[in-house]
Amino acid sequence: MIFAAQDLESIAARTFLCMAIILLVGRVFGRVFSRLGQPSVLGEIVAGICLGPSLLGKGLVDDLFPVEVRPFLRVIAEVGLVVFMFVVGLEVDLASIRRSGRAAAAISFTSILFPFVLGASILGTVLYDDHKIVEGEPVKHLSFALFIGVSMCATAFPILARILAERRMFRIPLGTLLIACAAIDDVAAFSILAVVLAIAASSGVAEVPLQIGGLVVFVLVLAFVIRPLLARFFVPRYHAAGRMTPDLLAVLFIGLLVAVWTTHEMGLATLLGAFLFGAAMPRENTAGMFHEVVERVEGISVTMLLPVFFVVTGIGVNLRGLDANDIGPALLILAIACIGKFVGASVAAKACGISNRQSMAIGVMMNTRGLAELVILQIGRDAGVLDQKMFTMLVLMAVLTTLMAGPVLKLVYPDRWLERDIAEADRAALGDAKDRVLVAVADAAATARTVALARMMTPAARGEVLLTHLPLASATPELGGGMLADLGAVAEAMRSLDAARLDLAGAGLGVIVTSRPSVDPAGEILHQAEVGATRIILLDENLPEQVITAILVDPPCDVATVDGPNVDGREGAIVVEIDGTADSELAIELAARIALASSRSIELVESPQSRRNAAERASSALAELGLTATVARADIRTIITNASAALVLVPRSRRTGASLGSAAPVIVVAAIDRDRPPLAQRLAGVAALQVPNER
Amino acid sequence: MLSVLAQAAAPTGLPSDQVVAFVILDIAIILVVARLLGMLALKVGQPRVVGEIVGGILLGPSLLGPTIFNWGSPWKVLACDRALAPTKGVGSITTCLFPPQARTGLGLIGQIALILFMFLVGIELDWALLKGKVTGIISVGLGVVLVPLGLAFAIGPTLYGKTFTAAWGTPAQPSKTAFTLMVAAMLSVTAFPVAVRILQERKLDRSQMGAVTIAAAALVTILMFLLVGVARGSASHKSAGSQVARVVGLLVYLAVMLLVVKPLLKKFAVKYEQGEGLTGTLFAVLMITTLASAYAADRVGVNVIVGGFIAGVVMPSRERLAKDMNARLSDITIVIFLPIFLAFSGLQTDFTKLTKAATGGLALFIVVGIASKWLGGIAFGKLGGLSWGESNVVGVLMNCRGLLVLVVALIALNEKVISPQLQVGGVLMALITTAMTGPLMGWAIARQNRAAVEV
Repeated sequence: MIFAAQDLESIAARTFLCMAIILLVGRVFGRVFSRLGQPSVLGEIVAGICLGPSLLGKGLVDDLFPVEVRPFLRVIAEVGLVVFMFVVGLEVDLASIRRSGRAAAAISFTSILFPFVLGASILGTVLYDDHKIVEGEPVKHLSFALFIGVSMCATAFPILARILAERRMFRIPLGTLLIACAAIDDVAAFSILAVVLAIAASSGVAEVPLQIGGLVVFVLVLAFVIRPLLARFFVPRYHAAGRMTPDLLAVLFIGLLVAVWTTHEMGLATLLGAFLFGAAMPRENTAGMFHEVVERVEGISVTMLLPVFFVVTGIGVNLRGLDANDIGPALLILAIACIGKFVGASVAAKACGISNRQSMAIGVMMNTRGLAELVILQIGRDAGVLDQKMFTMLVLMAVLTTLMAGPVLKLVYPDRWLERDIAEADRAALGDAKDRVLVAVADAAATARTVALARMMTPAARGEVLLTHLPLASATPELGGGMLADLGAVAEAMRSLDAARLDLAGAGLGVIVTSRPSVDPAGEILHQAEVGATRIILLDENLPEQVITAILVDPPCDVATVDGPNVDGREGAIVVEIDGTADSELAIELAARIALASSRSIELVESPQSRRNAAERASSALAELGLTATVARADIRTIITNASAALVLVPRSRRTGASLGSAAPVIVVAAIDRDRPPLAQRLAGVAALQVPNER
Repeated sequence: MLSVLAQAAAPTGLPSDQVVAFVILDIAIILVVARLLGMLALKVGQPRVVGEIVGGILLGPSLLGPTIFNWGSPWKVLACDRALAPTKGVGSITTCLFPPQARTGLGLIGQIALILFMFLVGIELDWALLKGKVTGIISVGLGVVLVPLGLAFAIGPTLYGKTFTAAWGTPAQPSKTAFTLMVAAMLSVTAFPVAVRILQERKLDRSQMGAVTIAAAALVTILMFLLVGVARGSASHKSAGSQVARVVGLLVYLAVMLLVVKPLLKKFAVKYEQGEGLTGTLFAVLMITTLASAYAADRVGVNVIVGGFIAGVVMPSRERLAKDMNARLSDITIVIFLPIFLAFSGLQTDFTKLTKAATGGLALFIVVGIASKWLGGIAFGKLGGLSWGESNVVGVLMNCRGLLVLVVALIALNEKVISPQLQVGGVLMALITTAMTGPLMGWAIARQNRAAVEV
């Protein structure tokens, strides 16, 4: 039969109303939760439970989400989940797991094994008798026990990543370690789930190897057929087109859908297929590509379709169905879940030589269950392994463990410890202080001029350039797909910064390149300058004005801001304006550095408010370094607009005068206020740097 | 009413995860076929969208259905017998690959695609381009509904008979007026979404020509669904009061959207209007508005298509929002989900129902359909102050019926007003008018450009 189109449209219209309600309530809860310092996803999950019979009661839920609309909600939720699991799979970079080494492997192994064994043995035995009949069908004890075991194992990769990012924990090795552990746990939990489902679905023991064999073949095909094919044919096409064309997007989706369907036909959970397909994507040269994919699917699938899943789950949860007798089991489930993960993860971490505090932090974080757990539970409910009470209690456990992660983490690993560890990690990463110039840019693609200046300012022998890229876009990451979007942007920026890196390294300089999406770029720059014992901060003009202003308030070292036209390699002299302040002494020093590096002459221009003879004294001091310095008696404007200047250095007082209409780049310099060195010392420093290095 | 529909819409027989798996598989199949036939259509000088529609028809019962391919013993993996048991369907490639349970899911996803697509169309409509053309638009909008209505009364008596009328000779036989009104509704259809797709493919959607056509098509769609409502009411002998209530409901809906929702959104998006980025919250609010608008539009009888479009029209700072929304939605909507909507209509179409006796009547029906829209568009466009060239382009696009005519035909069929033969006639008209739109557009645009140069 064919359904009358207008009937379908009426139901579709009603479904839209339901979706509107779900989105609205989910958003409100999400906002409230993020105000309370909790992940907003958790708010949406709780919203789903509140829209279910637990709060509204069955009658009201049936009015709100009529029974006839539910199959549709189900389909929508599933399509949203398929895309979501694909994205989760994409975020799991197996290569980075391999790199993360033994500690991650050990922690993941025990943090899976311990809760699994505890859950399957204790909960599987204690709770079986009360929950062995699901919808009138008996459940095998083995499948029940194994399933409860799996449901203890999940770790919410996206939520964990979000919390880590918010607390800036990626700055310390612990952050990357945790991400690797969570990724392994994700893969492991879903793999074990596949095996458990295979056991649950098979009628006899004989079928189990068949099911598992199918899964192995599927994974092998993905890894050794699909992945190379994509790397060989798909990725080059993307790069040739320079963007995600409709055809490429369609191919990717078709692949995803076929993978999902195949896993279903093999009797495994459909979502496993989506996850594995995402994980199997090639990783060479594809960060930008997947960034684009995620950006495109996010709007519809994550914002519109995924919240429907929370309601589908929520309708299945009924807290009212629990009675006094269930309090004990519910608490037991919660306790086993927490103990299993916490002990399993933190003992292994301790054994790997991680400090007490950090081991505990690992234990706490791995206990975050979030969305992955809900997916596993929904699969168990569909497979007929869990009855409504069990489902309700386990969902409750998932929500509570996720809820406690953030606050408990703050408790066992407070901010001051974190700050200390971050500073230590940064210091260790940067190494001993040399003559270091910190270059901060906002646009990774337009760094040539500023990098060229940095190269000339940094002495060849012992100098080091710390090139920091501070993307501004991530200031409002709410819609951005969390980690992946940021990491994708970072990967892209690093690629664009590579030319700059080669330029500097080619000049024999030490180079450290970082790209750090930050909501507080000024704070980030100051932090790096302080930790890295930086000599000069060089700011690119494409940084926002308020960032530059914030840095100039009380910098830990000298600051130079590049301004004016974006030209590189002009002929001519270096023009320095002298106003007799500490700023102009810094300007002289920088001019000396650049003049030595580029063998140019210096032209000193004395401003009217300067102390007498400042320019003359500077000129003779520069001559001692073997530099040609002439003193011009004219207004700086006429000199730089008429004469051919290669570069103009002006003190901070000129900042308001902007680029003075100069045809050459202008560097506005601001000397440090504390312990400022006299000019003689500054220039002596420059002279010392010129001594050829013995090495 | 919903619960009755649900029984029709959600036949059991398959576990829900199996249904989902079918939906997934079906989307994959539709995507492959849509991409391939879309490419093929471009090769033969047709818009891609025509290929995507034809793809749906090829997957449907016309070719792969039980009449031609009776699949005695389908593959076990498809669980055909279980899927078809509740509906007593016959196993064929179409019914096994697209079992009824999955079709409803597909239809729903298609509807989501449709409202998002119409939402984007609404956002992108540039009022500035409509300046000085308002009379023209209203004139065309009214004209291409009134001309078919008039002509329907001319050919109605000819078609009113055994072949094309439902329940002929029984007490349930519909009145001549009801029948004629339904025919008029079918004649007056303009495929708003397909017409816009064709404009987009020719990159004309942001031109003045495009804006005028889009606005006129929106008006036609509203009027056409009103006409459907009237015809339906007449068939089921509803009182005049309920007819008036329908129009009042529509006016209330439009008033609320324009006078209440629009300023509220503007207030909500005040930071966005000042240049801040599109936050997740704002995005969600806009989507909620769109979904709710689609629901309301359906309730007042003008279809979710209009709901999505109107939601787009009331969005704040649309020029910038159009860019942001397009980046987030358009690829996934147009490439992945819209083909599902287009194919879905084709899946419901069965050409094998056509008989020889109907040919004469159907030819008349189709010729009148084309003439009434195209010539009507030209005449009323000119009357409203558009140039000949402009009127011609508008007329050609108004004639494009896409598969929207199927929606109307199915309504007529279900109300027991028209026979399955005439329904198939509607499908034929859909195909012919849609296929002729692309080439005619090329010609009309070239003419219009020549005229513009000469002036």
